[in-house]
Amino acid sequence: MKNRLRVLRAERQWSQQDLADRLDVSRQSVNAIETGKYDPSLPLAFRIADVFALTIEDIFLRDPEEQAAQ
Amino acid sequence: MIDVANAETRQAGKPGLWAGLFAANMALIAVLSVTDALEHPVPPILIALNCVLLVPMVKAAMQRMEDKGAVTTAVRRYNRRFLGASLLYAVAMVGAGGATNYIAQGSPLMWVLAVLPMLPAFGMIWAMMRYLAEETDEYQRHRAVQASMVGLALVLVLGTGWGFLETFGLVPHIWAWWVFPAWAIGLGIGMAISEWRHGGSA
Amino acid sequence: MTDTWITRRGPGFWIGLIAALVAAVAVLAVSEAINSTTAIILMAGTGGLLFPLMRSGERCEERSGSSSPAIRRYNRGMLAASLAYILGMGIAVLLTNAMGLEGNILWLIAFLPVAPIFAMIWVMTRYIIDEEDEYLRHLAVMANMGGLALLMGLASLWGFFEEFELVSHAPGWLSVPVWALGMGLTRWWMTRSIRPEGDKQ
Repeated sequence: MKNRLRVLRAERQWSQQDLADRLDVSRQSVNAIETGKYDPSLPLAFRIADVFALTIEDIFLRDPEEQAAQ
Repeated sequence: MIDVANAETRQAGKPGLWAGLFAANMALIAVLSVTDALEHPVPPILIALNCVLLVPMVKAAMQRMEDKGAVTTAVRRYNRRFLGASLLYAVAMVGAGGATNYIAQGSPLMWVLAVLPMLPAFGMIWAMMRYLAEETDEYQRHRAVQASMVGLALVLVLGTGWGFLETFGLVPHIWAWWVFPAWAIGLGIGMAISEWRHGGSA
Repeated sequence: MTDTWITRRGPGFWIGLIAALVAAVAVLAVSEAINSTTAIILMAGTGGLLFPLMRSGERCEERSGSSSPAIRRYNRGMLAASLAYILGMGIAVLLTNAMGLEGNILWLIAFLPVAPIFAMIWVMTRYIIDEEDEYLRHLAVMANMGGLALLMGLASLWGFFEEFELVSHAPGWLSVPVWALGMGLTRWWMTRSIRPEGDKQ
């Protein structure tokens, strides 16, 4: 799943470790989510949204094909 | 030409070396006991002693995980519990193995001796279950579960393969507790695969 | 009459029946009341019950809405592998006992029952990879972990008693039935509170 984590982090000048600490997960996990290798569960996605004070839809992007199908 | 500090980190980051040594020893013990070169209960004692190699292996693996930012509180707790149980296991195994020589065959004391090393072995399994329950980082838990499924697959393949060869009288029998070390080896392979596929950190 | 009675049985009935038969054979074999060849034939024969188990299981899955294309593929794969196993085992036992084959050919014969079991492990792996419904995949993974826990617990327990010569030896191929039993128990435990919607009315 595509997401804007890297951009959002850059805007706030946070390192992956900074975000990991805020989310209470490991740096490797932040990396896996950011690169789209791992899709977070709903609770974790909400936690990420809370940390950035945004909604989930502002951070995670639907697949273009899926969006086109709707 | 390599500076000392660099060489040290590289040395600390070589869990594969210790794992290889451990596996080689295990294979040697297995061959010797299957060919009846070793009498019971010598092999489990040797295996228990071999477990001491796991200490530097875990240390090196932890260092590498630390570098990759993959260590969570639950991992640390798991490592402490697991290492503690392995050491207890080694001590109990050596102790029980030594004591069998002084106890008459078929005496009820034998059951006590058999149970003694079993408790730390169950402690290891318990430590793993606690880890899965306590890990709050869902991505790390996901990877642990995946790696242990690889271990499960290895156990089932080995058990079936060896079991039938044994039933047809082609290979000698092995003790049932092979499941645990075989699973641990599969777990290691699974971890390595997931590390290789998902890569470390950016 | 008997036919409807049989088809109405839920998967639990078949699992219970298979488990009871397997346990009975295992007890007989371990206590050496029957020899290993008889035990294998009886174990393999019990496998025939997998067919009604699958049928009733699929009906149950469809009713409770927990069926998916991957599950149907899995069921078909498992059934094919089970039947291949029974066939392979039968041929292998026939060749060794009735025809008295010996020597290196035995390595090939031993492969007859081994290959279908490897196929089962492969079908399970494929299922977990292919299942697109994340909840069903989660269920399958957890069931596998339950199977693993039961297998490791039992094997360690048995292994130590065996090492100190308190119990007799258990063959390695028992790991698959023990794993399957653990999976079944875990699945039942996890889904016990989930009832199909229609049942409430």
